[in-house]
Amino acid sequence: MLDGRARQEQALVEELDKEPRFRQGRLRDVVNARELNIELGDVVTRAAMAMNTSIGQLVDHDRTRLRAFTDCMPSTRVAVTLKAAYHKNNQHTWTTNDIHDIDALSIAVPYCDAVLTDKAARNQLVSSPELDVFNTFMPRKPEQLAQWLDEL
Amino acid sequence: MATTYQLSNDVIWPSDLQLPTRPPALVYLDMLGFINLAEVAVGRNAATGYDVLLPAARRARTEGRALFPLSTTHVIELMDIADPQRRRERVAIMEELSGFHYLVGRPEIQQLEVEAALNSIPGVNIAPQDPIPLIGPSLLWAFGRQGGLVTNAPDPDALATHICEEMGIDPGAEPMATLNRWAERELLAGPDDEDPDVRASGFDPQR
Repeated sequence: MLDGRARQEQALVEELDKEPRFRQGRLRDVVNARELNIELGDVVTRAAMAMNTSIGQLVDHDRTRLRAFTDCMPSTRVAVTLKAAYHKNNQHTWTTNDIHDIDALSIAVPYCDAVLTDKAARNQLVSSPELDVFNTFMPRKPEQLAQWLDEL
Repeated sequence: MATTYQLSNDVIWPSDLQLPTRPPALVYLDMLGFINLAEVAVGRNAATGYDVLLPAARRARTEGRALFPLSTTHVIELMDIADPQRRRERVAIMEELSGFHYLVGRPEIQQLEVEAALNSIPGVNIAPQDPIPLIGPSLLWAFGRQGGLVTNAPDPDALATHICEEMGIDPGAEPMATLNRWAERELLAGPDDEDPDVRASGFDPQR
């Protein structure tokens, strides 16, 4: 299953190569839409169908409201930030390790108080202002985490 | 930046997800972090700084100031370590720092977050459910299951004492808790290469 999810992201690389303009200004919209469809589609569809409606109808097919819907969910906000960052670079080759990392960090960043992760992921997380809302301590070095722990 | 719009800080926390009280602080270490800590713990060389982090993490854990929960990702990445001895070394430090507490899985959190996000839309009213704790005391919790050993024996501790003694394990003051920890340890570490059932299934460590 992880291989399949990595292949899905790799397939998006190829789609974006055909339409490179989407890497410039609308990348988060693209990734948000795929996240809503692929990762959340079953959950959202079941919930909406139980109300005899669809997510599109619930947000009046309004782009701003749809963005707010995906961006308001903590784990999805983190996952989309990381995926959009990786998709910004069309030389990035998606692996199952990327999927592992995103799955883990999408939970850890919003719901934990501190996260120690690899340099590349950490750099992306701390440079994304949309994730400041979580106020998660993300040390660059293990010694920094040690000091933070001692000061608890 | 890969977006043309400004995200608001309006995140909606799922009210049906029960967050633990603080302290202890929740500290997530990725698998590489645990690997490096394990290397320090057994006296091998590790990446810079982990010799400082290990005692600090141990102090914070034993003093109740921090908990280092595990996740499905740790479980899956541990499975990729072929050497049973290395796996057990990593599991030892994971046990020490996490107490085998796991974050609930991403599918469960996604479900709760979607419901909370939908409920924020005017006119939507999804009924609340019994809260689901963010942290659970079993590997199975991370995969959407309850986990933990269950018995209908009239005296669980007596049964646990008997089982521990049969397996050569010190039952300690709380035999059922000891047996649960043993089970979680075995579940996470996986079988040794010489496990008869594993061999009987055709596994060959030389291949």
